[in-house]
Amino acid sequence: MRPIRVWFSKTGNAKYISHLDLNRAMTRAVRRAHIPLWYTEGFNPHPYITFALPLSLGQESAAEPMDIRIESDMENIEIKKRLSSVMPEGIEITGVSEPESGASEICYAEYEIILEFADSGEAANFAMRAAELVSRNGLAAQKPGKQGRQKVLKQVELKDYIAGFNAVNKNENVLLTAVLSAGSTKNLNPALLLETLYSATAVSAGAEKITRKRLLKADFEPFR
Amino acid sequence: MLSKKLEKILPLVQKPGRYTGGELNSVVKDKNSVAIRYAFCFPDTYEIGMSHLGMKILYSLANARDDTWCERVFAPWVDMENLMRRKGIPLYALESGDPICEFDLIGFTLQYELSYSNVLNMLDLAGLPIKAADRTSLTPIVIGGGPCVCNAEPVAEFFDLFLPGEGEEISGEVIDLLKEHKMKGSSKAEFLLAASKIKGVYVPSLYEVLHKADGTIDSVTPLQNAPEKVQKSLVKDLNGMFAPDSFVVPFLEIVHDRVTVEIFRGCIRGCRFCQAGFLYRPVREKSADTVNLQCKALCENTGYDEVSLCSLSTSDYTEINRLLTGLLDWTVEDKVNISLPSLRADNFPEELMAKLAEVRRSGLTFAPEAGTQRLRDAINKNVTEEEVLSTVRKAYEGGWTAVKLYFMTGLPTETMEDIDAIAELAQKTVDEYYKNPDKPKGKGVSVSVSAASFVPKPFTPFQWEAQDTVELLEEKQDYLKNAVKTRKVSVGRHNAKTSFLEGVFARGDRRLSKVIETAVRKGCRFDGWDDQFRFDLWQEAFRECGLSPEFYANRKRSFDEILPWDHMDYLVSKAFLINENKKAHKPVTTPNCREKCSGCGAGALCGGVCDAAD
Repeated sequence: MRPIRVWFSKTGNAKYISHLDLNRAMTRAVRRAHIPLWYTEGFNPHPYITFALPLSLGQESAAEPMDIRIESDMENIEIKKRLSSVMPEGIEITGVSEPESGASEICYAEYEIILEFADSGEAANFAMRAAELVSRNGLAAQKPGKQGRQKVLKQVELKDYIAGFNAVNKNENVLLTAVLSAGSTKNLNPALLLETLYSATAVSAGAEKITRKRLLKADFEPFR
Repeated sequence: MLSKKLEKILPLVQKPGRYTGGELNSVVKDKNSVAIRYAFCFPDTYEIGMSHLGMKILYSLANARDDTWCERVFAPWVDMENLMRRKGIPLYALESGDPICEFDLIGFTLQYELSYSNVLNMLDLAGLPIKAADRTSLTPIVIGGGPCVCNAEPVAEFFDLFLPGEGEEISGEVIDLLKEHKMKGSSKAEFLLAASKIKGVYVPSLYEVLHKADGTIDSVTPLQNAPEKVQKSLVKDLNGMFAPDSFVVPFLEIVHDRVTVEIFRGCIRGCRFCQAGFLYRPVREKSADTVNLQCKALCENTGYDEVSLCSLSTSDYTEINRLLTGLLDWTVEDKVNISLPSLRADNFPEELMAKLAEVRRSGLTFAPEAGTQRLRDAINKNVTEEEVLSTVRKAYEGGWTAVKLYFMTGLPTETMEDIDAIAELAQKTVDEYYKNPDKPKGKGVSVSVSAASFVPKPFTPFQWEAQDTVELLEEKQDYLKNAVKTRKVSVGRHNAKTSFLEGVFARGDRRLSKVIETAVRKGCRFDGWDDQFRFDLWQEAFRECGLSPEFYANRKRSFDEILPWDHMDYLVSKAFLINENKKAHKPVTTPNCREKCSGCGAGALCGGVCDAAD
């Protein structure tokens, strides 16, 4: 049994595939690919597939890792070829590698966000105010959470979750690049950051395209 | 290929994956290189429609033609519909994203009477006039197929034509004809007249229906030489029949998320309440080898890890053991599970049980349908209590601990004694478990009883019977609930009002068109969904149209009354159905088709001999 890490991009309509649905779609895809899958040994054997960090519905990604296990020593290049031929529209295999670090080492994710505003004035205004808000000392947000069994809105300080932020406007668009905390212990969904910025600036984008570019470790080195 | 307008609303709705298309194996063609664009509409949600085998077959079949591009359309859920209406997005097809009002052919499959409101709502959402007479250009032609077409009179005003029976062969003929008339530049009237000459095509506008003062039908007159009776279409040889080798594989989890392969059509049993048992006659089997190959190809092309064998009464398949042996040859290795959804309680051989135990174990479901032997005889469900219990015993010995039992309430001749007997039979099923000395330690048994309300349907021996009123059905449900004394048995309820409306439309006539239209204008849709069903609005609609729903549901008809569906020919003769009805009231059973041919008439299209009479 050999663990391998498959890298794929998820763009276009594929962004509407939820995490749960992606799991199922990938299970079927690896079955179609005729690679020597390793199956779990329980009463109901199934291929071992895990995703390091779920991607929110509606967001795209340039490089998502999926860990699978195979039985024999088929070459990575052959695995990549076989997987590439069975992927649904919008999912493309970008690489197959040996896992270098475990999912728990993921600390940050880098996002590229393109926002479309009503006009260039609004875009310029938003880009300026957003940069200001993030460089200030505090940026409070309301995050839905739980207190015991009750659903409550929790106050969170977003500054603790933002490791990098940049905003530039061009015509009616704003391009944001953000490095945000990511992982199982500390995580910021870029959608929450946007929501907070919209309510603080009182302008919101008519359309947004959020792309996760890469995952980073604590030392900001890429997760591989 | 999604429009920008759509991209903006998708993040706001539940399950956007219902509306995006782009699934594996979905067919995309160049719209400029096809002659006919065909929108195949399923008037319910994506998850329901995508589970339907008929749609998968007809979609693949139409797309196998180079001149046709068939796309899928489902009813958008309420949240999506509201946004689409607000943003001015017309109903579109999933593959291209193009509005279906631009298509040549719009086909609806009518599987369930309570989806009629969705059909109208979808036409409206497409921006089309809902009445056929108000759609004056040649295209789009709106056609209907599926079991409800055996009496499509309540929706006759909204459709241009119907295809009763099996659609595989006839739908191709209709596409050919439409293509020809489109090229000729014919009018819609010219096309419909030509279509009415094809055997198996029903053009409702070519039939004049007159009513008597009491509301019953006085006469049905075919116009312009339309046939007196429209005979259903039938595929004679299932082995030679087109079968898809790939399915569209959805991202969302759908209701039946697996490979499904049909093993035979029709049923030898002749249960008197069961419409499918009469509509799909005669019995025709697909060979085990064909089924096996189809299962394998589908698993290969979809990546599914479960195969379901589909038919009425699966254990009546003559090659069942050979088929399972063949399937187990490769499914074990490939880690594919097999499920058999429709088993009878009287012929569940131990051999089959053992084979099933090799594959994954799901729940077992049996349908005794009625509690007493007298009532089971009346409905011709030829199963004895001892057979049910011995099958359940075998199941327990095979390691099963959960059993589902399906019953019906409101069957003709039913009394409260019959309801008591349902509870008693459920109790005996529980007792049987504790008699098993090898029962698993520390594990209890769970028996779930589902009691559906009986709805009399056209082309069954009970088509003349009165349906129980809503009040009586609810009283019987309460009675059953109280009759069950153990917590090992759980009783599932069905909404009696839903069954009532289903009964109204099942045996309705053309006058109901205006009721359906009125109800849809009031906001009725997704009537089959309890959280959406607005019985109050339906009642309002009936009042405003001056029609009584009870006239359709709760009235017993005489054998000589002209029924709204009498001009449809589903091969089974009326004389046979009358005889079966009389036998039910005695009660006397009728042997299954393989024991003795009862001369129902369905063999006619196969040269007088059907598989069952061999």
